[in-house]
Amino acid sequence: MANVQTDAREELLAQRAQMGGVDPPITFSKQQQAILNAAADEVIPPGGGFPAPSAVDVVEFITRYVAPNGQTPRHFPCAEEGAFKAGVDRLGNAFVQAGSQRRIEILERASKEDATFFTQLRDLVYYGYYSRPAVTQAIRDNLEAGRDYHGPPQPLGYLSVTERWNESEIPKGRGSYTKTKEIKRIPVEKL
Amino acid sequence: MTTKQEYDVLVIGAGMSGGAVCKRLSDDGVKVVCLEQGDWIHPSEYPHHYLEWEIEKRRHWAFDPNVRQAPEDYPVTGHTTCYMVNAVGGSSIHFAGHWPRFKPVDFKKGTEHGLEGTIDWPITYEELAPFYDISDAEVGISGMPGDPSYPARPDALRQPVIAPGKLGKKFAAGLDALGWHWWPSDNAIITRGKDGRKACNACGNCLSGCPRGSLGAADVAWWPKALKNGVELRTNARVEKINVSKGRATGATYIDRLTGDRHEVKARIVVLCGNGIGTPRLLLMSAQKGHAKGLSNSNGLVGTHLMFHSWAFVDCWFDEPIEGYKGGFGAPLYCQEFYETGKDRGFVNGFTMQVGRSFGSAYTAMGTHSGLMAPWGAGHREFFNKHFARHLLIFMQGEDLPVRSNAVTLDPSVTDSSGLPAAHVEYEVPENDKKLTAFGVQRIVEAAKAVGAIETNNTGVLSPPPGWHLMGTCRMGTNPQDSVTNKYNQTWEVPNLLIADVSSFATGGGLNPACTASAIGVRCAEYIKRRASDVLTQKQTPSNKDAPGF
Repeated sequence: MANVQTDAREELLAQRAQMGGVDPPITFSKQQQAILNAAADEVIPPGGGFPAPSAVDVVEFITRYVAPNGQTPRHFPCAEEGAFKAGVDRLGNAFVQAGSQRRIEILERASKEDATFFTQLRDLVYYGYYSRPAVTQAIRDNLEAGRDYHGPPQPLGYLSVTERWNESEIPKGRGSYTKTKEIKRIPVEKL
Repeated sequence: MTTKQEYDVLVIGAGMSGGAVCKRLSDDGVKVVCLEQGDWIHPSEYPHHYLEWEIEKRRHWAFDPNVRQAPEDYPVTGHTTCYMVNAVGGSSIHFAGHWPRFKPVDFKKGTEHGLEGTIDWPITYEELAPFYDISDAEVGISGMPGDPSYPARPDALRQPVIAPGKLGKKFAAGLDALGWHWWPSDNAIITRGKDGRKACNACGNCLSGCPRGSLGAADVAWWPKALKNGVELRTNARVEKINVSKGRATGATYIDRLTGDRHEVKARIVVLCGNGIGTPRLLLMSAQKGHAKGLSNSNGLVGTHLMFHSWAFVDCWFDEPIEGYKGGFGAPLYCQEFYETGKDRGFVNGFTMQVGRSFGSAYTAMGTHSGLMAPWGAGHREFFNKHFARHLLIFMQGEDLPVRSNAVTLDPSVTDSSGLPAAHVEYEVPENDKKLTAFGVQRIVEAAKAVGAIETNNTGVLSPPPGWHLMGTCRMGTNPQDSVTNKYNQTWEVPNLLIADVSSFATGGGLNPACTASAIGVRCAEYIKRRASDVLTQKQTPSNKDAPGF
């Protein structure tokens, strides 16, 4: 196409890991989605006020952090579409049909015999699940230590809810240093 | 393409020290051009507003260029985890803002013990102190005057300290229980607005840069002022070689990464600020007639005596909220109870204890700093709930000995995106430093238990250490037999080629180097301004004694 304005910076930027993952994302078949949802719900079981990974669409997150076919999987978790989907398919439809105990057995076996795939899956579920606003809200609602946690650091920050020093807390008078003119050889052999 | 224009000074590298050199020179009308192989960080690239901010720490915002693999990066092979950024602002883009000064003893370790390749700096704390003050005022530093473990600093400007939060107060309580030194940290994190930069709002994600400009990275601390002064900054300009003719630097040849074209820049003085790996890499790549082993390397010292700081992380958990997701990552306090060499410890040198923040929920699930990962399955929820925001990271950075065999060389078997050879690093933790680090871990655990930690997990002596600080590979010294430059940053073999970054450190102290790197840059610029006529006429680099001085 003639007269299309281009910018060499665009080409360089395209070589970097893209913020927010790959665009466009990869796609999974309905069966693969079902398998991934079932697996994610075993990796992080719901309960205690926390939603299931399937309920917060962790699969959508995974579609953006697996390198599409044709791209070298250079960036964490270094999952490549073809190999990752093959791993999902190895779990198979039987995994979806199985009960929770059987699913756990299958995943435990995968963690040993299909370690690369399993590690990628687990890490993506962890990062994806804890990035979801509904999970952040569950942390705020259910954990005393997380009552102020709001996920992405900006734009809010935490300044208004972060304690400051009291003058009386500062340990004045503790500590010393050696002045330049007082620095001398130490008996290294006696250390 | 060769431009006809000759600049007064060419600066290579737009990081902390390069930014300082450019700004301070241009204050006095010196005509400066700076070549930077990276580009500006676009505001949209900061992860702080993204839901995916935590996974991006391991991708777009990975510290290690070998992991990030961005086109502006160059590979580093060998036994290392080196952390750096190639961009306007350099590796300060990624730093935590820790801004401790070196202490008087840090400049005299050759006198104190002289082990391995340890030498004294050719300057003292007192000689550098005025430049620390200038640098601090430019960058904007929060802190609290009065730490008795330092000389008085009456001229050091300070903004109010960053808020410690429960995390900082918890560690302070542990140190108080043991009667150990601590003091609120100096940080290059502004708590009041400065030069159009916003005050820190304690978001806790400093290590991925700062979209507010609160963190004093060089892109906001130095560059806006340098550009306003008229400094010409060429980004995406990857220097291939520093050119020398008749014993004097004449400029540099660079590759424009946007076009692939080569250009030559001419300058009367060249200042190299490429960090402790990039600087020796470029000197070694600049081998040419009369300099077969690389520039200023006839003594074979370029690239040697690499220092990282010896390092260990200790994760501690409590049965109460610590809320480590709040607050500037820059340490709210530091402990230097064991900073100077002890008489009965079995090793020389010492270390600083600092605390770090705890990022977000995925960081907890993925194992924090020491790899204690949440289990998958039935135990996940209990583990997460017990560990999230109840975590305190304490780490130690120890002074590592400068060892000649710990070195940067070239690896022509691997190249960057312009076809230039990779840097190669070999680094082994010296036995002295292993003992130091093990001692440091014991002291940290002691502090954590003193304040009631119910669980700890530590990395032990990290080998290789995380390469946050890339120091010492072109060190300044007393003579051409012990160093690469004289005390005024002039390389011994090319008097108008100066080195003013962390590679010029003779020893690394047991604390963060950015503050000293910035001060060295300021000092170098002031020397050029005052003594350019001398530098431009010297046929040989003068000895420290014979140099005209300030």
